[in-house]
Amino acid sequence: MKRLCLIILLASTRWLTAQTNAPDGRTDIHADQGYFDMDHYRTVYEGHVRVDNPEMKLTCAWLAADLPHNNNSGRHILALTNVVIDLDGGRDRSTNLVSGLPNDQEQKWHVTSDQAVYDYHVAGTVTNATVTINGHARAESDKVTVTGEPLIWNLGTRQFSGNDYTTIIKGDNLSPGGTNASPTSTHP
Amino acid sequence: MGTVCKTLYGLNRPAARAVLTGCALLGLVAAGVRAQDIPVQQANDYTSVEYFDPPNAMQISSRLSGAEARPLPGNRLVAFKGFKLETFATNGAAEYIVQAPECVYNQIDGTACSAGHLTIRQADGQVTLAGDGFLWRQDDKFLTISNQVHTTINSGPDLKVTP
Repeated sequence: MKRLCLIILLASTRWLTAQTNAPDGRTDIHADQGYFDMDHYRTVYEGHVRVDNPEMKLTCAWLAADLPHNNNSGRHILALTNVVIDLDGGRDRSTNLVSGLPNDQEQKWHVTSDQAVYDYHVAGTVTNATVTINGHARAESDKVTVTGEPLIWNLGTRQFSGNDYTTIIKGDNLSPGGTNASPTSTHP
Repeated sequence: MGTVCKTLYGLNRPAARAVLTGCALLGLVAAGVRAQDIPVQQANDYTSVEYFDPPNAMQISSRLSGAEARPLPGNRLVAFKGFKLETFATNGAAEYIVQAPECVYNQIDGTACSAGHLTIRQADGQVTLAGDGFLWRQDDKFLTISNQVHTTINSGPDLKVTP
């Protein structure tokens, strides 16, 4: 089966600084064990850590979280070791490179890395929410594979950016229609 | 007990703790326990308060209560049912509400532990923690939850709770 991979190397530095409106939502964290520093609003979780949020699902072995409190709504979460994240990529509004038609499909991302940092803070009326993914960072959808060190996912724009940013478009997604395609396994 | 707490208002922390603990134990003894028995009986609606160190010595730092409290032999440990701990900031604002169906509180080193369930709620309603099996250290407000930890972070509007 003919498979065609197109590798697009984007600019080596493309840090995202755009301000976004991240959606609100409840976040649940499950783990085997937990430690809570009540004075500093900080929790540490160990063993089978799982984070569920309307925007993403994350699993890892170790996680530390600064919790919101009083007027401080900021959040900082550090996940370490065997980090796996499933992100809701929203509606794919991009255009098919061959057909020229909008893809217009729900997009899901499967992310793996050694480390991930979730940051959420509000400045005035603007909310910033990002996930910074480090260490063998790799994000895969049914159409493309993205790598970078780090990769940064913006929960407002639902786009990746980062250093040494590489996008690998899976071959079958270049053909008209793009159906009956099996994902191409690629390694940058 | 509320009257007692008001009377003790202003005492330093160790003194307040000692007086409250002594009163609780005296109450148990006076409740009809025979002299030769170990003075271990049940007390209902137990409450104990702690105050901040100066310069905030007039402010309550925590309020510990139990629907049922039973001093264990040696009078170092107290077994609680319906354990509830509320902590406050120096400005009087509520910080946490800790609840457990049962636990054992160590009056000497200020720790509480249980193999049972525990819930902690931030007073502003933004965060709730729960789990099974815990050790809580009062001095540095540090909590270890041993099993099935579950944290819920709500990003909705704050739910203000006053002490």
